[in-house]
Parts: sequence; structure tokens; C-alpha cells
Amino acid sequence: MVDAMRDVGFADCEPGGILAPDLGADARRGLVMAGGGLKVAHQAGVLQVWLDEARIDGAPVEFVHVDGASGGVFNLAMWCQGMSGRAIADNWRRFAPLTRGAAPSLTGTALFSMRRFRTNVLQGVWGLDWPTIRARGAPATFNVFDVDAQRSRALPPAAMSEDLLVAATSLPGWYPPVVTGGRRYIDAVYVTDANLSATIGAGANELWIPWTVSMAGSRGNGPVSQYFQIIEAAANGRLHADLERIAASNAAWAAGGHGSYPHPVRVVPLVAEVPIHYLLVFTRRSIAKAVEQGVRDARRWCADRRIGLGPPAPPTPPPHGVRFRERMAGRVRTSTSPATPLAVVLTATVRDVDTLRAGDRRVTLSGHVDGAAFGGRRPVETGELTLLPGDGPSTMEYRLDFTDGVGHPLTLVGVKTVRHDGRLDLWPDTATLVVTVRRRGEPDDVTTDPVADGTLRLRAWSFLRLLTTMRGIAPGLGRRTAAVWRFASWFLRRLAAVYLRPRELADDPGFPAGEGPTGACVVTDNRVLLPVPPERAWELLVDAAGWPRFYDNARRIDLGGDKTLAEGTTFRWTTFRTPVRSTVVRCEYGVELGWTWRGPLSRGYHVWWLTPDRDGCRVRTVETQRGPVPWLARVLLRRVVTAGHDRWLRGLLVAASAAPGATPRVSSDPRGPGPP
Amino acid sequence: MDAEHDLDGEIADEYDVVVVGSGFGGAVTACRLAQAGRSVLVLERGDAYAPGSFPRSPSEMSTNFWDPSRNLFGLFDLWSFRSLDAIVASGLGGGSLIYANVTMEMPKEWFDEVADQWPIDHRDIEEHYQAVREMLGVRRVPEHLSARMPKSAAFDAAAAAFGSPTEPAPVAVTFAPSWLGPGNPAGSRTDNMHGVQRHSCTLCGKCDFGCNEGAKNTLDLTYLSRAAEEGAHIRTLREVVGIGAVPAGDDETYVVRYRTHTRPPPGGQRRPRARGVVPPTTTVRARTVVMAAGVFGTTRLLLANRVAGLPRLSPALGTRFSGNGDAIGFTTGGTREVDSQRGPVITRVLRDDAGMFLVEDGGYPSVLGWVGESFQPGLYRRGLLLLAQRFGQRLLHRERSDISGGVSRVLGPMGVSRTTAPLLGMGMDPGHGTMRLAGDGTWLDLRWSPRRPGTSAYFERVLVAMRGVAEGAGAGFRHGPSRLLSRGITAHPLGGCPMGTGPADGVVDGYGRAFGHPGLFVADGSVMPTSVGANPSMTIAALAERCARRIVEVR
Ligand SMILES: Cc1cc2nc3c(=O)[nH]c(=O)nc-3n(C[C@H](O)[C@H](O)[C@H](O)COP(=O)(O)OP(=O)(O)OC[C@H]3O[C@@H](n4cnc5c(N)ncnc54)[C@H](O)[C@@H]3O)c2cc1C
Repeated sequence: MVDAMRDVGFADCEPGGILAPDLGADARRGLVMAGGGLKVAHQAGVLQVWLDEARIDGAPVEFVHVDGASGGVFNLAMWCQGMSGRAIADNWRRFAPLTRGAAPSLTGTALFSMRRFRTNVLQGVWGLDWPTIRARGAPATFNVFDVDAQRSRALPPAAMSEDLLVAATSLPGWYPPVVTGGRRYIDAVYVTDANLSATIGAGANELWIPWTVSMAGSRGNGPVSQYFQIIEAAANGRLHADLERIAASNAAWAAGGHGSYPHPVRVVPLVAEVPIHYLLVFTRRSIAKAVEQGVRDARRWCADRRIGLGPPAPPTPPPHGVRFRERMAGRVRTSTSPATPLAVVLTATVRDVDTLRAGDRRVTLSGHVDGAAFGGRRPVETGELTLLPGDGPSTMEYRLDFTDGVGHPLTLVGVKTVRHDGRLDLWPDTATLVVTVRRRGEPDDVTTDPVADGTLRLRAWSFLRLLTTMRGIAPGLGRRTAAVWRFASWFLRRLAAVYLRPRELADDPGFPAGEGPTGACVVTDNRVLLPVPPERAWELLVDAAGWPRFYDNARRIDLGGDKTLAEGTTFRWTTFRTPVRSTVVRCEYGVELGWTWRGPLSRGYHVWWLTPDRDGCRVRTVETQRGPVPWLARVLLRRVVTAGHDRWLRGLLVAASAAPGATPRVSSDPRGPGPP
Repeated sequence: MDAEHDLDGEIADEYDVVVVGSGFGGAVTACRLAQAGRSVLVLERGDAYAPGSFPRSPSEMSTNFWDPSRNLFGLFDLWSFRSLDAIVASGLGGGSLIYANVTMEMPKEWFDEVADQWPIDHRDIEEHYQAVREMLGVRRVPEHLSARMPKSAAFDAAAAAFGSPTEPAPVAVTFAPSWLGPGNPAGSRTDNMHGVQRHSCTLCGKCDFGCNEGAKNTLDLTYLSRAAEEGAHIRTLREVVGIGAVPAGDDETYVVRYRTHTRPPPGGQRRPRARGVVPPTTTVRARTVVMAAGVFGTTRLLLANRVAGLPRLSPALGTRFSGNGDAIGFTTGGTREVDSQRGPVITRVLRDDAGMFLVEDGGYPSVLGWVGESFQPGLYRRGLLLLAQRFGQRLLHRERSDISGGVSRVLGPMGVSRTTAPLLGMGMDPGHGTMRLAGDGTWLDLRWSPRRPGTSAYFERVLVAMRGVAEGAGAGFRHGPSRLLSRGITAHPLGGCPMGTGPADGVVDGYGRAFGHPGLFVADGSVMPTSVGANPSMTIAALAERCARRIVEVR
């Protein structure tokens, strides 16, 4: 009896076994990257052979679906990004677990944290690039356990992120669960260490499984060995249950019936006892040895099965990049507030310094955007910095996708203009980020105001911190130092090329020469939406004598005989407790009104722009200030003038609304008699 | 109505109208728009409570609060601001589930005093009162029940001694006809969305804790049941978090984002959520959105969405808050047995036109009375604990104004007092509070003070009258927390999205339509630019009727 119910196992995969049905020419291969903790380094060696060298009928092996669980998801993510087998194996060869990997966790509920592993390895040496992984859409599933729903999930690459990848390998007790997208996730190993069903479900009928979980039944008695005995029991137990189901299904198909799977399935495993521990591995050497064993095992495996071997791929060049963190903070204008604090904290990763120097100036950004206007600290979903493209005067353009606290998808674009157009402008240029935040996908045009705009600054002290966070991404200290040096020297030379050349005059479109925001000590920018046509707002603006009626900060206005403002009008008045003398230099009816002004030890330019809008008109007012006083008091003045102009605009709103015939038009009202 | 409405049924991708919240504003608009043939979705964050399902046991009551972050999905949503505490409801039917049934018009004379602050006339509201009265089955508390409610007579006698006449309160309650005793079946199982048999009022006095007889003509039994009949989709435990305008030429459509809460099974373990864990959000599109999430709900939602989703909202958003002049006091040590537990919570109304306020007889147990309880020794200490905890939160910058969770732990089971009777005052408090988002932009802050000149004079007047009434009854008077801690307490928050003549002074126009966002309407108590003076629910409902009619005309 016992004999008849013989256990189904990998032994049945031998030719003639129940798990090795004849599929004829119709073999649709699926690859199952089973878990096994750090033992998956062996799997990486296997992949080097399977993906690059193996030839069936003279062609490389194609897989219709690839599944990854637990440690296997690392290899899967690299495969999804389009890395070759050799690149995957080389990544493991360069992985130094002790110095670059898991760090003990001092705060959390678990022993270790993956923070260092994320920056050093995932984003660093391995260079996982999530936008690429998501966009390529390789046929794959990642297994991760959703703690809040208490069920395992198989996610396609499009749904994956670094958080979920780390979650998929967060072994309870060792690593804390990962909270992402409002849910908690952990390693799915106790449910599945190799999701055979998902692979079959995706159409595969021949499963290639590199299996590294020990089947020897370890013997230790300590708590750690017992922990891993549980895992082995869960993983192997589930595997055998799956194999039994396949065997039963195959038997049914063989008997001419229908199995529980839609077609007979062949299982071709590569089983190895890898002599390293699942987690407690400390040297790069032992990992590299496991990879080499994988390569040897896989070549022998192919030879045994008469699978041809192409030429081995040459080693991939080691990564040669740098990474640094920067924090920029400042105030932005939103529809709720003329100046609300906003900060961005970013880790910039240059994958390869040489391609950067050669002209591909894209740098990956990760981190968060922090501002009360957006509901606190929001993670950056995808971020990219284009660093000084071209050779001449240039820009640094930051582009960050994030979602605010209530779910609106947004994009922040920040630009630093690197151009020699002022005296001593190297520091202000490279430290000032002009940002605009827009709804994602919304065109950058004039018909809609941005969600937020303003200026963030890199403070001197943040810059010093930035320098201390600069790290090379490369195997070995020497190469890391070299990478930093190559990056820094390029960057400095690039700046020198711009700033050691003669100055070009600033050209600020929309401003008279020398009055624009470039080089000004104080720049303010305020907006408001008025429920009246621009012509009506214009009347209120040019009637300078009437300003005090709605703006208490304008006093003693002396128009010197003129009634309203017109091109060339000069008027004296007191504002911000300062007597100033203004001269209108730009005046276009219903569109633009600008005057230059002079006060004690200061001068500036104040302009108003009106644009018609579906609800009336949009008003934007910008002031630039120059001179010793604005320079000395610039930090204070930025705030005070912004707040003052905000009051001016609010007053304008009240005055405009109170005007006769200013019943607000509601854009989509049906034509015909209005409300009574 | 053939079957119970499926409150967890399917939700389509797109509706003509999405209504946020199911209180007076939401229920009325949902009903009228469904009747006009629009496809309507009502999203209500709270649970549904069919008559008979309101919690009563002390242990149930101590968790009957709304605070999803602590896994509390109960009926009472308590707010504690710097100088004001407020109570609102969370459940299908909103405030009607726990209100004291008084459905009164805003007196015309009082409106006229503040007419310059309204963009509409009193008759624009008045024309809708009748419809509301019919739908809610409003009637005066019947005289033949007086014998069973000693507190009514006691209140009348006291008021007479003080020198003011009183009248029976108009209430939205089903009473048995005089020839039948209280507690008889009323209506049929098929006349409401819950499919339950309702009963007439038993005078149990628990109106403020939900009516288990189904005698209160709450919104789920009236307007919302009619809306469901007309095919509206009404969904509970759906909390709206985001609203974004999508421009479409001169017009707009909207994307509404909501969270679906799952209530732990009764008796199941209630544990606070792990940090950062929130229910998933889903989106639904609508051509028109009606905001009716109550004063705090609507104002907070609009403030939180103004930066990215609804940028054209007026800067007046958050202004003109008032607590409708709520004041609470207690008669103490009287000789007369008042037994304030019998009868609907409020049965009589004293109206003072000179001072522009009302005094009403309260009942025990009263929700506002909970706060009164905290003056008794045992609870006093627990109250201190709560204060300490709030102070701690402030220090840790984890300040929050929504404190239901904390209060439920401190108050625990509430007691019933027979020796005192609550008195409720309310009126034309001119106080203009302002709400804004504080902290990391996630919690609501209110600036309002009972000591502002007009407001303190108003409270002076009301408290004098309330003391007069108490002393008229030969009893002592103890005023509620509103003076002792210089704090106010209110059950009638109003304002925040005031109506006005233009975006300079109003968020919405005289019909509840938002300036700048042609498909966004506000229909709840937050549109009131001033106090209502009287109990506000009737006026909120009337303005919602007006808003609904307008939506049918222009959208
Ligand atoms: C104890 C007590 C007694 C009262 N007695 C009386 C009385 O006798 N007479 C009277 O006229 N008034 C009374 N009131 C006041 C009355 O209840 C309110 O004025 C009225 O309910 C306000 O109606 P509303 O439509 O503005 O908002 P609410 O009735 O508060 O409705 C808002 C609804 O929106 C829901 N909501 C909130 N946020 C969201 C969100 N984000 N997503 C989805 N749904 C959301 C809430 O759960 C709630 O159901 C009393 C109030 C209390 C607390």
C-alpha cells in the first residue's frame, strides 16, 4: 500500500517519469526563479548559462513566463529590466553582503533593516531601474504576501516597486514588514517559494526550476537553524504538493481525460545543495563561489540533456557610478497660500560616470517631497535629473512624479539655470531651483496656473552635507574613489567652462533690460483669479489714486496731475513704509502694466499681467528689487512683499466683486436669462 | 420598495451626480436628483443603522465613535478645537440619526437682522420649508402626551415664572394617534430601504443615541429611501478623500477618490491600525459633485483638495464658522421631579425675539450632557487624563482635532442623572470662526473664541435667560463648560463654505454652486454665512432643496 502511494518528487522528472510527459515540438518554457535566500546566488550562475549560453535548435532559450518568489525576485527584477544572464551573475559576484548589505536595525521590530541594502545594492551596484522594469512589461510575476489582506499576491512588473521588491524578501523577524500603498507586505515564502501555478496559468508547459532550498533536512538545534527548518519545510512541502498536483493532472491527461491543469506539464529542475547559508553570509568570496558553482552545475545540466552551449558571454564591465543626497527647501505659491514651505530630499544616482561624461546626462532621483500643501511627506515615484546637457550654458532639470495626500498625481519640475550672466553667480545659479508643480499629464501652457510654483534653495550647510553623502558605486574602495573623482572633476570642469567665460547679459523675456528676475535680490510672484473681465480689473489698476480704498499698504499717492496711470506717468507714493517714486514703462490696455521705481538705496520693477479666463481674468503680479537695502534684507523682504502683494490682490478681488455688474459669470451656465 | 437596498452593491465608473455624505444636505439632493432622472451615487463614510441596531450597552457605547485610524467606525464624531468642542454624526442619514428631532424654520425677523450677509432672501429659503416638512413628517409634540412627559410641564412652569411663553417643539417624529398607546407599528416593512417595521414613539428619550423604534423620521427612512426607490446608488463605509476637477472646455467633470472601510466584525478584536496602513482608494467620475459631508467634513475636504484638485475655489473657504450660539446648562437641586428621561429629547421651545435666541428643554441622557458628566468627581479625573493626553499630543506635534478615539476611552460608559435637567440655548451668535488646515496639512484647525465681543455679549444674554428659567423652576443653575473653561460646545456647527455674492466673500453662490467650479455644489450646513439661530437642520434641508432644483436646471 505504502509503495503504491509513492511520493512524487523531482525524481519523477527523469525521462519516463510522470513529471516528464512527451510534449512533442510544443514546448512553451516557463522559468521559475524559486526562493532560497542568498542561495539564489547559485541561481544567478545558472541563469548565466540558461539565458546566455544554452541553445535549443541553435537558438537561445525563450521563456513565455518567468515567476519569482522570495530571494528569486532579485534575479527576476534584473531579468525584467533586460539584463543578460551574465549581468545578473556578475551583479552577484560583486555583492559584498557585510559592508554593503543588511544593517542591524536599532529601532524597528526586526533584527535588520534593508535601508543600506537598498541604496548600496539595489539602487547602487545592481542598478535596478524601476521605470524601465515597469515600462518593459516582461511576462513575469512577483510573489509577495499582503499582511492586511492575509493573502499572497502575484504581481506583474507594472505593479512593482522597490518597496514591493524589498517586501517580497522581508523575512518576518529578520526584516520588518514593508508598508507601501497603504498596506503591509512580507516575504511570501511560507505560502509559496515557487509559484508553479502562476507559470502554468500563463501558458507554460515546461517548467525550468533552479531549486536551491536544501532538501537534505538540516539538523541543527539552535533557534536560527530551527527557523530555517520551518522555511525549508514550508518551501519543500509546498513544492511537493504542487508537484503532486501536476503529476495527478498529467496522469489524467495520459489517461485521455482532463487534468486539473489545462495541459500536461513537464518539470525540468536543476537541484543543488549550495554550501552557503540562506541569510548569514558575510564575504563576497563565498557568494562568488556559489555563483561559479551555479555556472558549472548548469553547464553540466545542459550537457546531460544534450542542450547545446553557445560561447560564454564576456564579463560585464563593473558599475562605475556615484550617488549623493541633496536637500533643497524654500517657499512656493499655491492657490491657498502665497508662500507655503516645500522641501525636496533626493538621492541622485549616476549609473555610469563615463556615459554621463560622454553625453547621456540622465541621473535617477529617488526620495521625497515634503510640504503641508501636499499632505506632508510624499515619496517620489519616479524622478530624473538631466544634469547640464550640452557643453555651453545649460540647466539642471529635476522632474519628480509624486502623489499628494489625497491622491492627485502630480509632477514637480525644477530648473537651475547655469549661465554666466551676473557677477559671482556660480553659487546662486547652482543653488537656486525654480520649481513648478503641475497635475501630471497637464500641458505646461498659459491657460492653467500651475498647482504650485516658487523657488527652492540649497543652503550652504545642506551643500556641505551633500558633499559628505557623495559615494562611489563600484566594487572595491579604489574604484569607488575613482568614480567620485571622475564625476567631481567632470562637474567642476563643466562649471568652469560656463563661468570662466565672459558674461552674457541676462535676457528675461517679459521684462525691460536689467529689471528681470535674474540677479535680482528679491523676486515676488503673486496671482489671483478675478470674477470680472480684464478690462474691469485694468480700470482698478490704473486708477492709482483709488488704490488705498482696497489696499491699505498704498498711501499718500501723488499722481502729479495725472488722473490714471499711462505710459510715462511718474507718481510718488508710500508703500511698505517707504517713499518711492515710480515711472510707468509698460502699459498695454487690459494686458500689462509695469513701472520701475526708486526708493532709498533700492530700486525695482513691478509688473502686472492680466489674462482673460473662463471665469473672468487671471492677474499675476511680479516685483523684482535691487540695491543695497533689498540685498541686506532680502530674506525678510521676500516674505513681507509677498504677503503685502497677496493682500493687494485680495483687496482687488473684493473691489472687483463689489463693482456694479460684476455678477460672477459661471462658465457653463446655459445661455438665456441669468438667475433672478 | 421591493428589497433592502444593497449598501455594498456595485459602483459604476461614472455618474451624473456624486453626493458626498448623507446628512440633511446629501439626502435631500440625492433624492431630488434621482427623482429628476439623474444617475446618482451617494458616498457615506459611516455605517448604516436600521432601527433596532443602534448600540445601547455601555461597552458598545464606549466604542461608538468615529475614528478609522483607531478602527472605530461608530456613530459619534467628536471634535475638539482650541476653544470649542463639537459633536457630529457619522452614519447613513448623518446628523438626523442623533439629532433631537427639532425641525424649525429660521425666524424671518432674525434673518432680516443679518440679511446683508446673505446673497438670497428669506423667501428663497421659505419656499422650500413646506416640502421638507412633508418629507420629514414634521409635527408639533402632541398635547395629549404631556401627561407622560413631566419635563414639558416643568419647563413651561419655569418659563412662565421667568416670564416667557413657550410652544411645543415641531419635531420630525412619528407619534401614535391619541387613541392608541405609544410604541405601535407604523408604516410597513416596504416603505424604507432597511426593510424594517417601524414603531411610533415610546417616549424613551434616547433620540440622541439613535432611535431603535424607528419613530424618528430620520433621513435614511425618508429622503434616502425615496432616493433608493428612484434608483440612486447609496453606499456606506465609503469615505471620500479627494476631488479633482478635469477641465472640459468651459465646463468641468470631476474625479472623486474614496476609501472603503471594513468594519471589524461585532465582538471581533479592535486594534489600532499599523502606521501607514490605510484602506485602498478607488475613483469614480461625475459631471456634478454635491458636497454634503457636514461642516467639518466638507470644509476639510475642500481645503485639502484646493491646492491640486480644485484650485479655483474662493479664498473665503473656511471662513464664517459659527456654533449657532449653542449653550448648555443644567438645573440642579430642584424640588420638582422632572424625570428628564421621558419624552423626546426636546419637547418645548422658548423663543426670545429681542435677544434672538431659543431655550429648549433638554433630556437625559443627553449627548451634550456627557460633557456635563465630566464635572462629577470620578469622571473629572478621567477628563484630566484626556487633557493631559491632548497636551502630550501637542508637545509631540501630533496634534489632532478629531478626538473621538481618545474620548471614548476616557468617558467609558455614561451615566444617567435624574437630579438635573439639561437646558439648551442657541441663537444668533455673530461669532465668525475660521477653519484651516494645520500641521502637515492633514488636520483641521478652528479659530473661534467665545470671548469675541459680539459673541460674549450673546452668551451673556442666553445664560441670563437660562438661569432665569432654572430659577423660575425653583432650582439652581449650573452652566455648562462653555463658561467654566472659556470654551464653547456645539452640536450645530455651521459655515466654512459660506454662500456669498462673489468669490470675494463666498465660496458658493446663493444656490450652493461653487464659484470657479461650475459642477461643484455644496448643500450642507457649511453654506450658512451666519448662524441660523433656530435648530438648523430644517434650513439646511430647505437650502438643499433649492440647490437640487438649481442642479436640475443648469447641469
Ligand atoms: C446631539 C445632536 C442633537 C441635534 N439636535 C438637533 C435638532 O434637534 N434640530 C436640528 O435642527 N439640528 C440638530 N442637530 C444638528 C444637526 O444634526 C446638524 O445641523 C445637521 O445634521 C447638519 O446636516 P449636514 O447635512 O450639514 O451634515 P451632517 O448631517 O453632519 O451629514 C454629514 C454626513 O457626511 C458624512 N461624511 C463626512 N465626511 C465624509 C467623507 N469624507 N466622505 C463621505 N461621507 C462623509 C458624515 O458621516 C455624515 O453622515 C443636532 C446635532 C447633534 C449632534
